Amino acid sequence: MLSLSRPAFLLLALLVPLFFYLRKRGFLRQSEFPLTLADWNGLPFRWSSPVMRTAAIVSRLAVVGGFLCVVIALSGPVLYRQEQIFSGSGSAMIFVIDISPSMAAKDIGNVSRLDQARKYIHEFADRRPGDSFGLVSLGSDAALLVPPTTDHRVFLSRLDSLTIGEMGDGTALGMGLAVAAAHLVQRHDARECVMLLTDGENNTGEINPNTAADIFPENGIMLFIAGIGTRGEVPIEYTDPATGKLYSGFLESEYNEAALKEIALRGKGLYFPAGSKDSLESVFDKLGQSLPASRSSWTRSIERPLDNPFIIASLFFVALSWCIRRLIMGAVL
Amino acid sequence: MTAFFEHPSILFLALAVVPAALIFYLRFRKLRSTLMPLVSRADTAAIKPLSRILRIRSAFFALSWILLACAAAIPRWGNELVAIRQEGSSVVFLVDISRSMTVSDVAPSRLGFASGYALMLADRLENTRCGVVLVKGNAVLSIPLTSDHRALADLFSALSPAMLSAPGSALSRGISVALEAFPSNSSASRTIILLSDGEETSGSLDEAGRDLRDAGVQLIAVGIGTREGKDLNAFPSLDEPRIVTTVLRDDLLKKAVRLALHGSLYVNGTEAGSAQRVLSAILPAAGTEQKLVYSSKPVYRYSFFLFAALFCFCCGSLAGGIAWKKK
Repeated sequence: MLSLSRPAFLLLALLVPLFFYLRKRGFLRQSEFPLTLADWNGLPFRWSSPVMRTAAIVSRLAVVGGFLCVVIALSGPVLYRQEQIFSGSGSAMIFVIDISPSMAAKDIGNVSRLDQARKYIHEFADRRPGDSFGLVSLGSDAALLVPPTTDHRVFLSRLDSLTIGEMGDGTALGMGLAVAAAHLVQRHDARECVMLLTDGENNTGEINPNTAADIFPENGIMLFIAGIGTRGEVPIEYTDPATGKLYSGFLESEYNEAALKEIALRGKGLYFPAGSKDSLESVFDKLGQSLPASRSSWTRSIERPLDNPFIIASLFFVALSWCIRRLIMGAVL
Repeated sequence: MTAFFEHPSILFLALAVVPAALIFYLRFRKLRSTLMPLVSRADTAAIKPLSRILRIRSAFFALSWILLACAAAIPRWGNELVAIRQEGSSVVFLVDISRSMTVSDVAPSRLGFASGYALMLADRLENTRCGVVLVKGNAVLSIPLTSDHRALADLFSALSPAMLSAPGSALSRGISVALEAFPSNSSASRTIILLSDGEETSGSLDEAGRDLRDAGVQLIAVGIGTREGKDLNAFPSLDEPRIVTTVLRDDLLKKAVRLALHGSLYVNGTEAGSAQRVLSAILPAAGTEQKLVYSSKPVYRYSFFLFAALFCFCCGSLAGGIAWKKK
């Protein structure tokens, strides 16, 4: 909401019409060199060039603009916005994201599976400013990249920097789930949840996914698994981060849906197939329904002063007017 | 100058009046020398007041421009107190991992001591969100504010100067990064625990202390090391060792604490009971009760400069370019 902290100063803008009125009525006159160069009762001096006539008008408008900008800045323009303030722990959620090369397949909305997942995670996090989000990536190994944090800027920035293949060519689902659970078991004051986004079946890692899934119900952590992608031949384009080599072509996409369902069952969680944009969107909707967003404790009014842009604009207008009058039109007096 | 203006570099715009005045003077002199022979004797008397009027007008316009440039630089002096509602607490550990922290005037080394100290504090801050910023020649947010104390413990156990490549010790840069680690939408009180020997190779801890005061953030500086210090090879990559003695600069840390206000505290980490003093300074804020704290905010004075600039412009328009018409 835009507001003025000293609106009375706006009355100073009336000095502009007053100035022109007084000059027109002859109460004020310009200083001039006492030299007559024209015939008595002859035509007064006027610029013949249209460029100069335009320059004269622009110069005057710039002075008036500069004056008005100062008046507006003096009246203290301020932009108010309400910010929600959160206290307490809120819900905590860790996204376990498969970044094996097959996640580069472009079978959901003509972008890669990873990019599509990123998009929905962004939207989900934006809707829940009071919740904590963490990030675990998995390939042939798994690592905690961001612990559950309310600093969404850091979480989203790391999410955006995920590169396909950076954790190796493999899918260690068990390791990913175990790492995520290990960083949530200490929290007992709020609801915790892990969401696994994968398009593959477990083929590496030291921990069996079913064993890892057992940790979830024991510690009251909710588990959601989304199987991303379609089956069959899908286009893929991916640059191996280790060699820099670009792979482009088609991939025979196949994943073990039964195995993912079993992991969800062992973890007393839910499994959702996400083979299209709509189904992926509905996965996040269901996740949102299962885990209510934290409510703000109160709102705070944040004020952003807007005076400085007007002061800078007034400097610009005054300098423009001076340059036109003195350097282009050659005025002296 | 930076204490009085938020953007002091804009003040250079005020210098534009010098070339402008020079151009005006040269042009007017040329005009007068060209036209004076053509002016009639009766009008010659009118030239003198015209010169005076133009000088006054130019002075007013120049002053107006200078004041406008000052206003654009955002002048500020004095402080006002602003009430902030808080609930809970959040802590950012700012750990100095510069090479001077590898000396062993405290056992096992300053960095090893800092690591153990931070681990112990984090263990006691159960319901507090904590983050970690590492500082050397540069500073990075290694762990954002989180309740996951396991992640903190993992990092503290692995601290090493090799974690950052930039040489030096930019503690003020570390404080800037730590300040950014507090999300604006959190109601928690804000504390930075600086674990350092106080040696600084770039930046200014004083300036950082003032920034903390303005942001309403508490600084707890834990000095690690001894005043006697110990020798360190400053450039181990050179063939000839260059030995410098690195000591605990508690004077710098204490000064930053004095400037930061908001219950800021300095403790010597090696003193018995220092950790308890640190916890006592933080834990009152860690409860679930709401409280009001006061943060100081600079008072901006641009409106005075703007009004003066407007006044000078009007005076210049009336006294110089415009004159009352004689009836």
